[in-house]
Amino acid sequence: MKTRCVKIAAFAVWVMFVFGGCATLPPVPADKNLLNDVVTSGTSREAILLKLGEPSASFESGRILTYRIGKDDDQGYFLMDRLVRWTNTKYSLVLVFDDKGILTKHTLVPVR
Amino acid sequence: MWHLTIVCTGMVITTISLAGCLIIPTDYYLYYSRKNVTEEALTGIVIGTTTRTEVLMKLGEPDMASQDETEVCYIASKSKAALVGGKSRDIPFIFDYIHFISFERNGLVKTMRLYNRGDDNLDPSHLDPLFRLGGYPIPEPHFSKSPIILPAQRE
Repeated sequence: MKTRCVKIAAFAVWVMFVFGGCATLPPVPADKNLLNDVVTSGTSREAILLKLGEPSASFESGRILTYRIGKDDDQGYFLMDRLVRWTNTKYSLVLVFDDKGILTKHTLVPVR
Repeated sequence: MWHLTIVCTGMVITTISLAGCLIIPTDYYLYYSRKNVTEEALTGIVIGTTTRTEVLMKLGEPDMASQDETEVCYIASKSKAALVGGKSRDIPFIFDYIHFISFERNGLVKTMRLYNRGDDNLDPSHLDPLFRLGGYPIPEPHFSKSPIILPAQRE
């Protein structure tokens, strides 16, 4: 009886190890074209806000906007929240606008 | 033979436990830390010449900023040791490298300082800028929501 219990327990542990590798996190909604229309000089700030949503930070009364960008090699880019610091975040997108709200400079800074 | 193996294993475990703690030196960035604020990354920033815009374009979004945007902090967190046994809170093995940059009212760089929190020799007053800026953000792992869709324009 004791031997049988030990065998059952050992089998259960083996099953856990074998199928534990199958556990996956839900996929992050990513888009390969997320930044295509954004990082183009001449784009308006309003268009960028409509596409990317609220920035993670803004400076100089909105003249500079920053977004935290993650990247999946297969799925593309996705937005990250600043509350997680830089977990799963690959880049900091920095957008600089002129007085009329038109994008003049931009850069994708690798942070991790 | 197996008896000897068990005895030797027990002696090793006992030795480690009675030693209090075993410290293994490490050197890696923590999972929530940025990695781009190294000494080399700051070499292109010149006091009195580099603007706030140029700093942001070079280093990206800061981890903290003052309300008037004259002070920003870039923080990189590293594990310098792994602890086996003992009380982890007694040994500071996580170091925060804090790059503090201040700007003049016209947006030019005024000062640059590197603080190392975790260093026992650090003067606590050097961390005053951090307390003014409100402390640390909370590293709760979760994913961002999809982009905000504005309501349709009313006619």
